[in-house]
Amino acid sequence: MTFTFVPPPTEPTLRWSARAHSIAEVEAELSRIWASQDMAVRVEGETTRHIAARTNVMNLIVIARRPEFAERCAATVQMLTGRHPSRTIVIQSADPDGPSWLDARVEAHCVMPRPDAPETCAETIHLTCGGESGRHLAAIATPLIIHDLPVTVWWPGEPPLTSPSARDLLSAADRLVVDGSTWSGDGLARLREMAALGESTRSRSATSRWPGSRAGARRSRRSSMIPISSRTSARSAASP
Amino acid sequence: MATTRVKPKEAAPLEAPADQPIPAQPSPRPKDAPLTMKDLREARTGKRPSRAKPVENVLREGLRLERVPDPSIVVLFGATGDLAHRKVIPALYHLWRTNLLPHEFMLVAIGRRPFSDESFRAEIHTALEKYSRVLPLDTDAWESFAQRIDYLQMDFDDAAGFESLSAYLDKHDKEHGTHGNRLFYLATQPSQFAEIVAQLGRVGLDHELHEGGWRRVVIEKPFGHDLDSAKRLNREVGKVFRESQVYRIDHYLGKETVRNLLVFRFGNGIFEPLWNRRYVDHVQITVGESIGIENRGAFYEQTGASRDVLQNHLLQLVCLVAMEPPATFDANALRDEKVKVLRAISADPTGPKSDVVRGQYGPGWVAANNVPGYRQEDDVDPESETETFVAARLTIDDWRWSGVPFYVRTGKRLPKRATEIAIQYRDVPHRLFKDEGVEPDPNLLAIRIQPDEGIMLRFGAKVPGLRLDIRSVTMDFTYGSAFSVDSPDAYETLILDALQGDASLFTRADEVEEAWDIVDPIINAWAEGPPPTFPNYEAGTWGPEAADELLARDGRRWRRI
Repeated sequence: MTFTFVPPPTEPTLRWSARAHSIAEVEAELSRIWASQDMAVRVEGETTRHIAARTNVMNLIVIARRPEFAERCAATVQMLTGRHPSRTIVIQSADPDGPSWLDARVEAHCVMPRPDAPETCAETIHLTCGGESGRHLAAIATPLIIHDLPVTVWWPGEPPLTSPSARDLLSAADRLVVDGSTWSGDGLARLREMAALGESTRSRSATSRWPGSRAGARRSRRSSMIPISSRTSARSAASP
Repeated sequence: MATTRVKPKEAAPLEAPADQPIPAQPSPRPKDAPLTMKDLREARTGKRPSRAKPVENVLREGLRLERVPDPSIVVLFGATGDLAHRKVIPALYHLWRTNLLPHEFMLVAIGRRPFSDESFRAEIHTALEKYSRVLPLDTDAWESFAQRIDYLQMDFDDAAGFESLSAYLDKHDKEHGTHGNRLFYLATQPSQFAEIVAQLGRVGLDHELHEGGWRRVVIEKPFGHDLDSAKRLNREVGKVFRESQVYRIDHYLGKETVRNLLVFRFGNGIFEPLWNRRYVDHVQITVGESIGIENRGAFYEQTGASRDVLQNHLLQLVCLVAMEPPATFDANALRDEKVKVLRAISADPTGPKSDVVRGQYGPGWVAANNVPGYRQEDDVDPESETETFVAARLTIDDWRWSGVPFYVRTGKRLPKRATEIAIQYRDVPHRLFKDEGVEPDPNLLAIRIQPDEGIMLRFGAKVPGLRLDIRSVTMDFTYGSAFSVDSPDAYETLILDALQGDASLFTRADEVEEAWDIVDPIINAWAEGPPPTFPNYEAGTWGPEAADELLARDGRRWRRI
């Protein structure tokens, strides 16, 4: 039996970056990325540049209550582009008592899974929401998700699971990733909250088992995946 | 053969009355008598065709050069209005800029506000800087385009005004060589359509001339506000113009992906065999808008989602998805098939299991903005019962679609602006992988009309690894990345079609009436029933819960868009 050595994917490179100040502008940028010559066309005879393919397997919404969470999560997600490309929406809030504003950075990172393979690219959208808009997470995230792909919410820190804002967001999500090690207080109460979440939304979602995401989650050791759609939610939440 | 007839060599001489001498020559043929085949042949031989054929440029052969329309004048009624500024004039400018309009072209803009030619051109320039698809403006193209815009101030009920318009156009025909070809574009309030058409007829502007010189009329939507008013308007227009001269615009039909739908279905061999009740479980069509009513409260109060979108855009999309292949790509063949679909559509708006759900948005958050509810908008009754959302379960009772529901929905203040058609295929007949504990999702074909026009096919694939695991993957085709050219605006496509006399993307009189025949009973049922409990959905959500129940009842759900 022979084994062939498969080199690891290349480091992701930033191929596109743009700023926007409204959801409509972000949408316009997202469509511009794939229309741009630089991303999509290979010049005849040129061997160094491969066709960029847009390959997303899911929508990943990261709710970062603190800027350092946002950076850390974005860096982790970028590392996963080759293995597990996803449209990532990182939402940060700032100045919750001020007027509403939005600042967005749209990026595309590309990797070559193998040296001879075409490049694959995925988009990351960093959103900073000022004022009250930061409390309406579903309104911000829903317009930006890719249709027909599963939605995962990654919520580092202590998610306020019973708040209306979280409920709206999670009702449209298939899975929730949390980091139980940072929680304070009564962990059991938290688990109960999450179990209730799984119960209430189970009927809405019919995503099948979905192993790729687990491979992705393994890198951030302490996170647990809560599949909102399945009966196992309470069990997998309790396992770590 | 027993029944063979032998033609006499010469016609039998006519019997002359006894008191008159027999004429030496046979009497001349009556003017309208048909020629015999022999006469016909003899008349043709040795004769040259009466008119010299236009010389074709041989270098053009085989090239896909767009045909430029005939020299013509576009007469735009309601030129000072919003639609003209936002859509019609920018579209004409782009056609001009890309050399798709003839050199002998004139735009006669008619409005009620006082403008000189110069001040109107300046106004249009400002509008173009705001609404043009390509910016900055091309100065040379604009200069030459502006030369061709004239402004006429006129009241639409002013009889004398139309007489002078007629004389004015005749004068222009002579000066600019536009050969009497005229396109009348009605971009006014719908209540004025009938009046303008009647006036045009009164001064004879509808008459097509013998030596070329076509006359066409483009009528904007909404075409009527119910079946009766649509019939009445059709009758008024029909008194003046023949149906072949009438172009009723539904700008959705000019969109690139909508036209591509025809190519996708009938230009490919592999989809049409799967396009029926045997393979399709159901169809979902969403026309979602994230915007509200945008200062058009007074208009929307009288319209509502069912008249504004369901009657025209949504039903047109249903027609294009459900119609049979037409025999030719000819305007009437295409529209015949669409009318057949409309006749087969039914929806029961009454009873507890109504096929129709309506909604109205309350205050909420849409894309990082706090927005007011419908009843709090300007010019809206605080107790308004106007629907801003409508969802329906349509059944099409024909051979192809019997038992396949078409779920359609449209609304204002939904989470995102998205227009999509989804063909949901049936489950596999036999679950081969059930012992492995995996169940692939059924296939889905999604046709996205806006934004990011494209087509997506979803199918199951094995996840690499030692276990058997199936994941849904998608094949995506996006216009933006596949073709590096801009799609034209729907209005550009449609105006060019009208100038070229191609009516396939315009709605015919019977089509409009059939569509109202579907929407009318829905509105009537609402009018007869108890008042609705509005608002029933929060701005920024996918409509009222009843819309979800409409599908849940059949064990289905709306796709996540």
